[in-house]
Amino acid sequence: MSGFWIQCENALFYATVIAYLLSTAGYFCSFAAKKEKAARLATAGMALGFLFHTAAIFVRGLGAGRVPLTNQYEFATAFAWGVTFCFLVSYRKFKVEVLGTFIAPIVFLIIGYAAMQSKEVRELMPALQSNWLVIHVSTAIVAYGSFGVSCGISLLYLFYDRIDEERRRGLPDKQKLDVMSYRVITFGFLFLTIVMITGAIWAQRAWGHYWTWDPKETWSFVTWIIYALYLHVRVNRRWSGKRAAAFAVIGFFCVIFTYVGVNTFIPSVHSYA
Amino acid sequence: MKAGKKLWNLFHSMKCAVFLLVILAVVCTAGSLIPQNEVAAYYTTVYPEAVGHLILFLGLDHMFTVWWFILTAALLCLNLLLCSILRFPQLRKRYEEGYGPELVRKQDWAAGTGVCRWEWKPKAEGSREAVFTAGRFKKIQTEAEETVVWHYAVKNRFGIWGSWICHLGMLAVIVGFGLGQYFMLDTYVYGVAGQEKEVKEAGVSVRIDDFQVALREDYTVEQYRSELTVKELASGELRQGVTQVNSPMSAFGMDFFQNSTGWAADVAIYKDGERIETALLCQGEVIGLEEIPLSIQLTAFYPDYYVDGNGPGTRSPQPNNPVAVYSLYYRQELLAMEAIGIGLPIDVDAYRFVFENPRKYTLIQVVKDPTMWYVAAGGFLMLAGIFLAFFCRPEELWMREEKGQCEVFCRSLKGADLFADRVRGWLEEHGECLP
Repeated sequence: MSGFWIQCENALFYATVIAYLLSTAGYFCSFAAKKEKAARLATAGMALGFLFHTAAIFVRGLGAGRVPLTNQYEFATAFAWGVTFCFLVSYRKFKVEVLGTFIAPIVFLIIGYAAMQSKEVRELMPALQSNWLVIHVSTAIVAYGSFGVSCGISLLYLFYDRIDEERRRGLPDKQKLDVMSYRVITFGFLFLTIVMITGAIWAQRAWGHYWTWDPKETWSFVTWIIYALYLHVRVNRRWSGKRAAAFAVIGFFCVIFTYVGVNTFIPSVHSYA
Repeated sequence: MKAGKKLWNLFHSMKCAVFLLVILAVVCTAGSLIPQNEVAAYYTTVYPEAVGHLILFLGLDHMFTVWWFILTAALLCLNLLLCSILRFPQLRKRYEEGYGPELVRKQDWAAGTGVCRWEWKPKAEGSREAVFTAGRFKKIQTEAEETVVWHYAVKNRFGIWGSWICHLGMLAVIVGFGLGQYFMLDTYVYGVAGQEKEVKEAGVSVRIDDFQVALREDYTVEQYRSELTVKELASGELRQGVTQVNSPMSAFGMDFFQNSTGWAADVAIYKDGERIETALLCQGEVIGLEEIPLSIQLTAFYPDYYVDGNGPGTRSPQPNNPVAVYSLYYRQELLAMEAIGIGLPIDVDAYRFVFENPRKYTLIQVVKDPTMWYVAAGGFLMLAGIFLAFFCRPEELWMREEKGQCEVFCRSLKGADLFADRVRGWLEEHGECLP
């Protein structure tokens, strides 16, 4: 990747980080000081950050001459992009600004993790030279992004009773939060299933086996089971509400471990970092 | 009898499925954290001895093939099968039941049936249609009975099959995968360009016509490419093709995958100065002499050899300074292990070994999985089922008009509250909901 593209990408990436940082701060200020205007500004900041972020990914793709979804840095930044995208979509649908207080820090942490990774652009190894890479990883971004948003909604649900009456004004009630989280999870679950199926097809083409119990596959399966359990137990009234919210948060921890933990701590054929 | 029925009910219940899924999640987590398929001594040395023995006793060292893991998966399959069989008549009945006014009439309103009801005053003449249009109901039916007129519509009726289809797909995936483990042919063949080898279990012979490793300027690998000729042993029929990573060759119902590569070299064996044999050794292979129990192994190969404080290494993948590391065994005991340049002699009494003509060998994986398409179909069913279950929610809307009064009813088997909220929104947009 030439120096020009690197400089462009760096500038856009750091503009993104700053926008997300300011938005996170804005949401906290809004939450603490009960200023709705600050929340609106923070949401605008998230949208602006999202634009920078999209441009940064696009520029990296142009410079690298391929879809930038192949190593820890590229996936981390795409992961943060996915959570922001899903947050902005859910904001448009549900119009709940305060959700940003719980989701913006998640985005900031993920992009912070991306900033700590090597940004070096490497040529693709043969196994990664496949169109399935684009489908598999881009669906993973949507799935993980949805789970990030559901985690934020569930955190809001879990802290709901500790929020004083005045701050609760303008917030959806707990039942609606529960339904919102459920809706977002069903969306993520569909995409996670696509991730696993496309991954299996790709593995079959590249390695001769669609499933080998590789740690990454196994953890994706565990994550899938956790969200499948969420969707099943939620049918039972006793399990909707707090328990379901806790499940959604645990599910997102599994997502994080599948992405960061497996690549970092467990030897796996998916360790491309 | 009562206990038996309880057990039966429990066995095909969602509780049982949840319990089995939890076990599978826990077991899979453990299986990903404990290194799999290592030798027994590994577990007793890496872990505290008691833990190591427990791992071996429970079979956690081969978690995904241990009998109780397979039993858990089998029980889940049985649960899914029973659920699917028992739910089918209920779903069919629900799918086939009429959704006309009789469905509203037979509601037991006092019991709370999931049907919402409002009295509504439309804004204008076309407001009724506008409400149905807002809900994306396409086919609006009208039924008149004396002074009452019903307008009603339904959408996404097929959605009630979603979870059933998903469960069926999951069943197909698990059963297909399990059977695949037993009936799958999975073997390897390796060699250098020009070699032909029989793969008896596959009933074919594989000739490696050519093998190329495409390198970039920075010596990273762009692609591995093997040209193969596959001959079916029974018929003598030939198939030619190319296999490379992500693009396997298919022939005679089998797939040939470019799996791996390594270095190979010829070893020339001399006795009293006379060449008695030349054999090809791929990395790790051993050749023994017939006359005495002496054998030599090509232990490692460095194409562009160097040594520094960290030990031996290679500067590039090009054979600029090729060095073989060999191991000599006498009566299966290690006699020597050294690095030697290509073409240089290794003398042992009257015998001399010389490594020459180093080149890359290719490792081809031969796979025939008769259940793969069942698993693929299962995966597709799962996906379709999830889509139907969560994104094609069956929704029903009725309007009852009598003497200028209008009542609106709606029902959704999933997300009833949200649907009711939406219906109320449409009603308020196109009229007035009366308290």
